[in-house]
Parts: sequence; C-alpha cells; structure tokens
Amino acid sequence: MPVIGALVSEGSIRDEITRQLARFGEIEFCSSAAAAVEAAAGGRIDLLLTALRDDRGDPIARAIPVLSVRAPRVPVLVYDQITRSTVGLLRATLIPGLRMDCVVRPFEPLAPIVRDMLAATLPPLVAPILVQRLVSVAPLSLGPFVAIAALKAPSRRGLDQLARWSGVTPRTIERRLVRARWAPEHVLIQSCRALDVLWLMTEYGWSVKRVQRARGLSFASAITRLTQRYAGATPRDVREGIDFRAVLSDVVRRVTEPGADRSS
Amino acid sequence: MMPRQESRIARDPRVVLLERARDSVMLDIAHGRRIRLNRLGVRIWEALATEPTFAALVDHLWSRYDVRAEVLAHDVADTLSQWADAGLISWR
Repeated sequence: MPVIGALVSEGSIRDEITRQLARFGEIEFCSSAAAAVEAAAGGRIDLLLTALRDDRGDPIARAIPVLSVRAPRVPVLVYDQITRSTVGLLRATLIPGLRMDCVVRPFEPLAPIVRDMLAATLPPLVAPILVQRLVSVAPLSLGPFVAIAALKAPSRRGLDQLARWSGVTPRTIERRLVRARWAPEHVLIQSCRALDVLWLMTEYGWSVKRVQRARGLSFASAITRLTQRYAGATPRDVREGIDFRAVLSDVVRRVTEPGADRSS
Repeated sequence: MMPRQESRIARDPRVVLLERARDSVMLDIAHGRRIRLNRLGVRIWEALATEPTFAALVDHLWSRYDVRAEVLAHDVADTLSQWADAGLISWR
C-alpha cells in the first residue's frame, strides 16, 4: 500500500485529506518541510501532498530543489486554494520538468490525481511552463483563473468550472479578458489543451492514440483539429520535428496579445 | 502584472564570476575560495542576476537551451543545492 506524505498544518485540512485518501494508502503527516524531505529521501513516502506554505509559514517552493535532488522519483502534489494572494506562490512552486501537479482546494477531489500520480501514468506536465508564461503577464484579477486554466484545461474542465474554482463567474472572466485585451476564454482554454497535447508528443514521443486515451478525447481527429487551430501545428508537424519552444511562444503571444497577432 | 513573489534566489554579492578562455570560476571573496563552473553553472549564475524563483530559472534556461526540461530541472536543482550548502546563494 502506498504511503502519502502530507505537509499541511491545519487540522481540518488534515481531516479532509484523511477522508478523501484513506482508501488509497497510508497517510503520513509531516511536521515540517525538512521532515517531508527526509521522509521522501528515505523512501518512506511515495508522494508528497503539500500546501503552498509549510508549518512555519515559509513557502514550500524553497524545499523543492532539495527534494528533487534527494528524492527525484517522489512526485509533489500541491493542495491549496488558488487566489490572488496565493497564485504567485503557486507560480514559484510548480517547476517545469518535475512531476508536480496541483489540486484546487476546496473544489477539486484529491483521489483522481493522487491515483494518477502514484501510477505514474503521466510524465511531467506542460502546465508549470504555462503558469510561468501566462500568469507572469496576466493582470492580478485574472491570475487565479489563468493558473487554473493552465493546470486544468488539459483534463477537459470547462469555463464554468474553471471560473467557479477561481472564485468568479464565467461572465466576469469574459469581461476581464476583454479588459486585459487577451484572447477570448475559449481560445485560452483550447490553447492550453493544444499545448498539452503537443508537449506530450514532442517532449515524450507520445502517439496520437496515447494522448487520446490519456486525455479522454473521443476521436484522434479531434487532436489534429485542436492543435492545428489553436497552436498552428499538427501531429504530422510533430513527426517532422517542430520546435515546441517556438510553438509555445507563438501561442502565448496569440493568447496575450491577439491584437498584435492580427496586425503582424 | 503580478506582484513580486517570494522564494527568490539571490547571489551572495561577495561572490564574483571570472570567465576565462579555458574555464570559468567563482571567486568567493569572503572565504577565499575558488569554485570551478561548467557551462550550465555559468548560465545559472548569470541568470541569478535577476533573482528569479527556481521555477522561473528553469523556465528561462529551458527556453534558451535545447535540453529536456526534466533533465534541466534536476541539474539546476542539484547545482542550487550545492551552492546553497556552500553559502553562495540564499532564498529571499
């Protein structure tokens, strides 16, 4: 039975974790970030579930480099609220290239992502890169929504859910995107999905079928339409060797500066 | 724009990078140490001039160099951990 290390200080959240995850494995609550690193390095935990701040109030981001050196195989799952006051910490915590993800408290259930992370069904995700690129240029009022969209759009969460999890209505998101002169919400969401697909295919060599299964898409052709329309690249382009970094920069520019795209 | 974040990595101002034709070294003036750097180390040290977060640092390096993010993240973490242990960098 896997052991899930949990670094959260509030008792009610500990109870919530126990309630949701007791059937998945044993839960070991860690008393500090240092204790969590020791537990991971010593092979005593299979996954670390953590809030954005440790028991002393220090950002958990500071412990990630040491954790990734001493326990490179232990994935990290952030379990916290994503608000205007925490989105900067989230951005500092999610590291491109490491097996990390986030469950949005109190809305999202822990079990599905914990199960996937323990089974190692997915490689490191593109989401931390998208959070870096998009949140850094987003107005503060859009930061939580943009971060949640980057993290959750690939798993087919829709606008209503993403907006609700960021604490506002879909209409408010639409207005804020217009005010920021960003592309409409569906472009943002679909672009995140398209980049997730292309990331898995270019960085990890996944086939269309494998992406289709992992992301629950009905037809393989949907992948081609998605990536072509929102990222300007198809699976065929991937086979011919596209530069994912260039595609990413282009998509980010199209989302955050759609006017510039039209005039160029 | 987002406000300035926490968890930024700062260089010790008493450490200077000396780039030479054959190699590069960090001179730790306070402790009289010389630490040899490889190419990645030089790039990391230069990128730390802006006091990035670990996440932003990895993204910055990944966007410029043709290396897999997974490999890069672990290499950068390894380097930062050694530098932190040696007192060459600190968290802000």
